[in-house]
Amino acid sequence: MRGLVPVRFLPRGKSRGGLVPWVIAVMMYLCGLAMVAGLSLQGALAGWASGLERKATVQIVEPDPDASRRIQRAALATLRTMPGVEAVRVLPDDEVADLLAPWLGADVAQAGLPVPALIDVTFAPGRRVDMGAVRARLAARAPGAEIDDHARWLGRLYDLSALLQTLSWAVVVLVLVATAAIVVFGTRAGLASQQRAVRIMHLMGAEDRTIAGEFQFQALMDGLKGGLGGTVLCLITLYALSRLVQGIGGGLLPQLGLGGPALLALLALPLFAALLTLITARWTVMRTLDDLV
Amino acid sequence: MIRFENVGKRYGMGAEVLSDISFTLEPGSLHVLTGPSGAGKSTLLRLLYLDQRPTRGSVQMFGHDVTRLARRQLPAFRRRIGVVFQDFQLLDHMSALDNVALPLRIAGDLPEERIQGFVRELLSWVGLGDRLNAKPPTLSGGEQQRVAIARAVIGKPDLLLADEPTGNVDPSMAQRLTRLFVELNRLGTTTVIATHDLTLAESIGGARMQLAHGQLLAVGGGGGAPRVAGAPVPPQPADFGGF
Ligand SMILES: Nc1ncnc2c1ncn2[C@@H]1O[C@H](COP(=O)(O)OP(=O)(O)OP(=O)(O)O)[C@@H](O)[C@H]1O
Ligand SMILES: [Mg+2]
Repeated sequence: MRGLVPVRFLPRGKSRGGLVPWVIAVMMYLCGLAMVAGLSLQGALAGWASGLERKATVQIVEPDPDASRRIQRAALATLRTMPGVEAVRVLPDDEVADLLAPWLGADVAQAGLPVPALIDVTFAPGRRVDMGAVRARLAARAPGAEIDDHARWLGRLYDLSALLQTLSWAVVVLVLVATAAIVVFGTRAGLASQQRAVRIMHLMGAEDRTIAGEFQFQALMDGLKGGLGGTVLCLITLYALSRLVQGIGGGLLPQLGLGGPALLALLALPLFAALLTLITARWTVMRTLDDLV
Repeated sequence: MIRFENVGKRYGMGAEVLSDISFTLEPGSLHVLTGPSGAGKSTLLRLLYLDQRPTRGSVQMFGHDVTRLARRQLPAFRRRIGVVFQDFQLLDHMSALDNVALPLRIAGDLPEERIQGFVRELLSWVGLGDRLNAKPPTLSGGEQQRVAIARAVIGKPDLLLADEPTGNVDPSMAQRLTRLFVELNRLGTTTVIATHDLTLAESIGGARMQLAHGQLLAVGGGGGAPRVAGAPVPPQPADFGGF
């Protein structure tokens, strides 16, 4: 305490606005969420997309079951002989029905509707596959089988994720700027309410940094308290969110869970908030004191 | 030694409140600054305790022209000056002890136990040994004044300034406080006391500096620059002289 604050001269307790740590907590909560979103979007979408990049789906829409089976066999034979193809798998009818269920209802199979045949294709990792060639071979040997490599969809996904990431970091920056502004206002209010004490210290020969000392210590405590509060709220929210994602059955949704970097960033948040409030308060006090002779 | 040369001071765009002020204060001298209300006594003291810079002229203090010093060099000079403000300017949320300890804590070159020891000693010396932990609002005017004086002298300043130091107390208390200042001056501190109370000025003795309409008319002290009131007397109260 004595080491951090050279001379104590401000009243303790109620004269200080007890609101500042709360506002900082809310700010740090938003900051933490945006930060985690930015960091985990990066990881989750990259992982997810690389999985999808290695996959393609062959679809055979043929109402006649015999014809459909023939095309299926031809397509399988063609794909298996192609370089770069690691695995092919015909989706069983009930899996296809499951996939369609959300759109067509649970009893598609019973309804006797023609169900498309789907073949999952997995490419070997780390190989560029010429989709044009695959497409041409299929057209020649198994007409009626269409391959979809998700390229268009993936492209949009990338654009979306890039946008969301940019947005997340913009939110982080804006929240930090707003936090600094709050600290400036809070410190100015503190300086104004303690104008007399500040002036007396000044006239007794206190250096500016001595006077700034107690203000910046208080700001540091506010930042630490607010930062801790925000981080705890953040962790609770993320835990609830990850439970929710698991409940949905998360094959499709990117893991929103905390990766190492995101967790580190969250745990560092209180310290970072404290540093930000300290520096901001010091700067504010020093600038105000400059107006004295 | 302190020397004002052709010092002028105006506030903002107003007329000069002080004009062509020149004087010299010898080390250890005692001065009484008198003049009617509005003559500029407080303004002159503000220049002395470096709260304001003059608008012209030079102020030599402790071997430097303080009008030419950078802002960041002034605190070290202020720490050599003790000021008793007309309205005391004590911090109401701090005990008498903490108020008096402030200058030593600001100077920061004594450990806290020694600071406490000195402060207790000095507060006892001014008769407040039993009010160490009282907050200023619970003290009488005279008691507050003694706390203010104790705070001004605790750091053994080279220059002691007092602005109407007896403005708020009855005549007998005024006499006691006056004796306190004279006593402190005898310990070697250059002292300037501003008052418009001529009776008080008489009883203090010392060299008279008389202000009228922003001009300094030196009286007493044998013309010219005000001089030391009496030969410095060796420190008397052993307990106070001890630090
Ligand atoms: N901060 C200020 N801004 C503008 N004018 C001021 C300021 N302080 C003092 N003055 C003016 O300067 C003149 C001298 O004021 P000062 O306070 O020095 O007088 P004084 O001799 O101490 O009077 P008093 O005996 O009433 O305390 C006055 O005319 C006053 O109005
Ligand atoms: Mg005055």
